[in-house]
Amino acid sequence: MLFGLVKLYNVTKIYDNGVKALTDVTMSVNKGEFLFITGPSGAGKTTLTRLIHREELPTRGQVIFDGKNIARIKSKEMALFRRRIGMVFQDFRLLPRKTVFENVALALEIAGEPWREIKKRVPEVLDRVGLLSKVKSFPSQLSGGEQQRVSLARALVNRPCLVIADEPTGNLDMENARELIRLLLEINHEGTSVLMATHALDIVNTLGKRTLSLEEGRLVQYEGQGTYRYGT
Amino acid sequence: MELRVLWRWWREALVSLFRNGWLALSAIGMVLVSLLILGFVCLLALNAAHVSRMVEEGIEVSVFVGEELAPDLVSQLGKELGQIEGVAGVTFIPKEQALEKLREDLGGKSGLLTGLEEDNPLPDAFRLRPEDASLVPAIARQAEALPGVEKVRYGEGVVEKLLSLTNWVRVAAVGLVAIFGLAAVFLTMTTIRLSILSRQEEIGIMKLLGATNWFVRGPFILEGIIIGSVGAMLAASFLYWGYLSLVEQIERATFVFIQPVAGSEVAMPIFGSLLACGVLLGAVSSALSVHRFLTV
Ligand SMILES: Nc1ncnc2c1ncn2[C@@H]1O[C@H](COP(=O)(O)OP(=O)(O)OP(=O)(O)O)[C@@H](O)[C@H]1O
Ligand SMILES: [Mg+2]
Repeated sequence: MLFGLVKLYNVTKIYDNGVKALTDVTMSVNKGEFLFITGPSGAGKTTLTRLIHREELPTRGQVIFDGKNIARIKSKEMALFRRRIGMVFQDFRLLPRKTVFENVALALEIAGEPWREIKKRVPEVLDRVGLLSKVKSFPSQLSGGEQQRVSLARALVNRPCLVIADEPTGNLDMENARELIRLLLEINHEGTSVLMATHALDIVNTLGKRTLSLEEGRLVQYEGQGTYRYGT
Repeated sequence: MELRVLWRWWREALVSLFRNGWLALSAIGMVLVSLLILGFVCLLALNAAHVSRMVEEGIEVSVFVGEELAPDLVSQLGKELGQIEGVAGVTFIPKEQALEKLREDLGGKSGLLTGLEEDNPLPDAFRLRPEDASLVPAIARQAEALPGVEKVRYGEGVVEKLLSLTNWVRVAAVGLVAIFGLAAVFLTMTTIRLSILSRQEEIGIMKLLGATNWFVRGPFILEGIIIGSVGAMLAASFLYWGYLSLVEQIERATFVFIQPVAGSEVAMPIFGSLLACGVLLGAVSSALSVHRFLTV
C-alpha cells in the first residue's frame, strides 16, 4: 500500500440511468506492478478503468492517483494528468479519418513532442506491435485485432507511468494474444505499471500476477495469486 | 505561441479539408451562397442610399425678391439668407439670367419672349442650398419672414413626400441587410456545426488522450477560416463581376437619372467586408461548435 500509484477508497459508481456498476470498491495499483482485473461481462471492469482515467467520476468514494484525489483535478490540469496514463480502450477509440501512423503520432503531438521525435518513435512502437507494414492504412482497413494493437501502440508511445489495457486480447488469436502479453510484460519490466482487465483466465492463471476479481460490481476476492477462477 | 503549434494547426486543417473534400466543398458552397445573397442585398442598399442622397441633394429653396427692392438691399438680403441656420450656400440669380434660362427651356417657342428684355417681368432670385434636405421647410419659413422677400418656393408637399420616401428606403435597406446578414450567419453556422458534429467522437477521443482544448480547437478554427475566406472570395468575385456588367448596362441605357454607385467605388467594400465576414463567420462558428464537445 505504501507504493500505491492508484488507490480507490469505497468507490461506488451509479450511472445516470440508475445502473449500479461498482459497489464499495477499495483497491490499489502499486507502482511498477502488473495487475489483472477479471470478472464476467458486465462486472464493472471497464467502469473501473474509466474512473481511474477520470472519464467518469465516482458517485461515492475517492480515486487517488499519485497521491492526488483526481476528482479535484482542475480542467486545466486534466490534459497533463491524462497524458500520464496510456489507455488501451476496449473499443479501440481510433480516429477513423487518420492513418495508423497519425493515430499513434497523435499521442506524441498531444504531448508536444517535436516532429523529429515523432518520426522516430512511431515506427519503433509500431514495429513492437508488429504493424509496421500498416502505417498508411486507415482503421477501417484493419482487422479488429490490428486496431487493438494500434490502440496499444498509441498507449505505449508516450511512455506513460501507467498503462491501462481493457480487454486487449479480446480480438486476438492465441498467438497474437501471447505476443501482446509478452509486450505488456516487457514494458512492465521497464518500470511501467500495468492494469489489465480481461476475461482470458488462462493467461491470468499462467502468469501468476496479482489478480482482482469483480462480480456484479463488487470485489469478490481481494488478492488472488493468478489461480483464481470465477464461477465453477 | 510556438511556431510548431501553428504549423500543426495548418497541417491538420488542410489534411482534414482534403480528406473530407465533399463536406468542405459543400460548406464553402454554403458560405458562397449566403454571402452572395448578403452582398447583393448590401449593394442594393448601397445604391438605394446613394440614389436617395442624390435626390435630396437636388432639393433647393428658391427665394424671389420683391420688385421694388434697391440693389444694395438685395445684396443685404443675400447675406441675411446665408445666415439662416442650415443654409450651406446662396446663389444669386439676377432676372436677366432667369429670362435666359427660360428662353433655353422653351427652345423653339422662345419667340414668345421677344420684347421682354426691356421690361423683364421675372424677379431677381436667390437659390439656397440646404445642408440637409430635411431642413428645407424650416429654411423656407425663415426666409419668408425676411423683409424684401416676395415669395419662397421649394416644391412644397412634394419635398415632404420625397423625404419620407428616401427615409423609408434607408430604413428598409438597413433592415434587409440585417435580415440577410442574420440568415447568412445562421446558414454558415449550421453548415459548419454539422460538419463538426460528425467529428464529435474524434474530439472526445483527443480529449481522453490528454489534449488541451486549444489542441483540438485550433485546427477546427483554422478550417473554418479557410472555408469562410474561400467562400467569401468566390462570392466577392462573382458579385463584383456581376455588378460591373450591371453598371455598364445601366450607364449605356438612356435613363441616366439613376446613377449607380461606380464599380471602382464598391470594389474595396465588397472584397473587404465579405472577406471579413467570411473569416469571422468561419472562425466563430467553428469555435462555438467545437466548444460544445470539449467537456469530456
Ligand atoms: N455509460 C454507461 N451508462 C449506463 N450504464 C453503463 C454504462 N457503461 C456501462 N454501464 C453498465 O454498467 C455495468 C458494468 O459495465 P462495464 O462496461 O463496466 O462492464 P465490463 O466488466 O467491462 O464488461 P465486459 O467484460 O463485457 O466489457 C453494466 O451493467 C453496464 O450495462
Ligand atoms: Mg468492459
